[in-house]
Amino acid sequence: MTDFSCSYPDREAVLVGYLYDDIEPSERVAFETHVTVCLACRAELAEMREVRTSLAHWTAPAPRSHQSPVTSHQSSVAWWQSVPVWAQVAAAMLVLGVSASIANLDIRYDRGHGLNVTTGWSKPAVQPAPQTPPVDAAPWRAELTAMREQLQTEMRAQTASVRAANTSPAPVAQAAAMDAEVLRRVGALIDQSEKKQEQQLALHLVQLQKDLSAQRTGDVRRTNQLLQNVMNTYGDEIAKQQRQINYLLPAAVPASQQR
Amino acid sequence: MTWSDEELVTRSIGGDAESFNQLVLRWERPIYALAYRTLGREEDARDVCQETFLRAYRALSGFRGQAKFSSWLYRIALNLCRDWVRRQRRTPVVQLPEDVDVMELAAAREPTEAIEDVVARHDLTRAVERAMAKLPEEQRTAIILKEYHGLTFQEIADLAGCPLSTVKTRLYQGLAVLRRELGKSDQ
Repeated sequence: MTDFSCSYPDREAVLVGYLYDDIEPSERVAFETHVTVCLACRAELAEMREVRTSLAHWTAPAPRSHQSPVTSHQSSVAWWQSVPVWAQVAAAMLVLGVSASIANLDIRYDRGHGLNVTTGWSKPAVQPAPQTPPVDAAPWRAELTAMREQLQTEMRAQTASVRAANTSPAPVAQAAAMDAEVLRRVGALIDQSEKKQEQQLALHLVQLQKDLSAQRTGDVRRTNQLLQNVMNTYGDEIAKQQRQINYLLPAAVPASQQR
Repeated sequence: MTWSDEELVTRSIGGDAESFNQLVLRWERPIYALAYRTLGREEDARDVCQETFLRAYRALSGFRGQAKFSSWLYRIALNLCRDWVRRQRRTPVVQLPEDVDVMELAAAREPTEAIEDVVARHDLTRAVERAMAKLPEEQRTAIILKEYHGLTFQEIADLAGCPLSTVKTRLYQGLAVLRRELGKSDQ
């Protein structure tokens, strides 16, 4: 290994500073002068430069393009905010409507049996005699109507506020607060609807369980009947065969044995 | 119009997410390279890079501008790298598979470059990686920040929380180790 012994003051720090050109101009000049006469410093400087040349070969791979940590979040918020409130309400109602239609809900209200919810795939085999009161009298219908009216009121209020904002520029904060309020109400309505859906689903599940139980009982009864029929048919046949065997058996025994 | 880092930070604090995205685009590559050279694994570097910007975004309101934004970002990244190494108990700095993928090398070749030159370049890269892995963490960090990120001695001292003279000593000693290790690989 090369011997770099030299007594230049603060040599290591100055050498590194000179190597990276991060040094005071006066120090630079002084060291440059020294290097011309100092073999050790010149040699070490050359070797350090070689090391730096080697280091330059170590390139980091390019980062694979990844999403900015805020892009996805911000863009989703922006997307949500860019949709008009009335469209958000409409979308919520559409989701509820589609959910109900997928479940093929058949909701009946009977004074004797109370609220009865069934679906297309779990309708009872025998429908009870229709004692349903007029459909408009059903509580859920009234609630739905109330909800629809409430939504219409909200939408009218929203439209009016938008018009007002167009004619006289309201402060942005006020508009944002209004939007937030409408969104909150829509959220509350959706929550309410969700709860109702959950209740209906629970009723539906109970009904489904009843249907399955009835089906199972019927199946068991039919199976027992079938088994009974089989026993009746083949039981007679077996008894007949037994009688024939008993009749034929004495005739088949030799006379010597009979004696 | 090109905004300065500090202007973009101010706009980001004001709620302009696009400004922060510009900062990410501007500093993603250096931060990723810093993490890669410190940790030695692309996926770890990617995770640290992502986490760095996430933390920066969360703490943006606390950025007072006493230091440059880039120095602040480097500090977050270096802290994460340090935590990462401790948590994962991995030996930092590149652990490449021993076998050389000739097809990959050929693909990395410049149009005018002979395959022998590509192999030589690859060998030199490996030698540098191995030599860097021999350095203590402080020396390695100082060399990475100086050599590949062009930070001043003072900026490195601020990041490392040590005197300026210590940074110069670490650099000198680190370069001396590299000179010895690279000399060995030449033989």
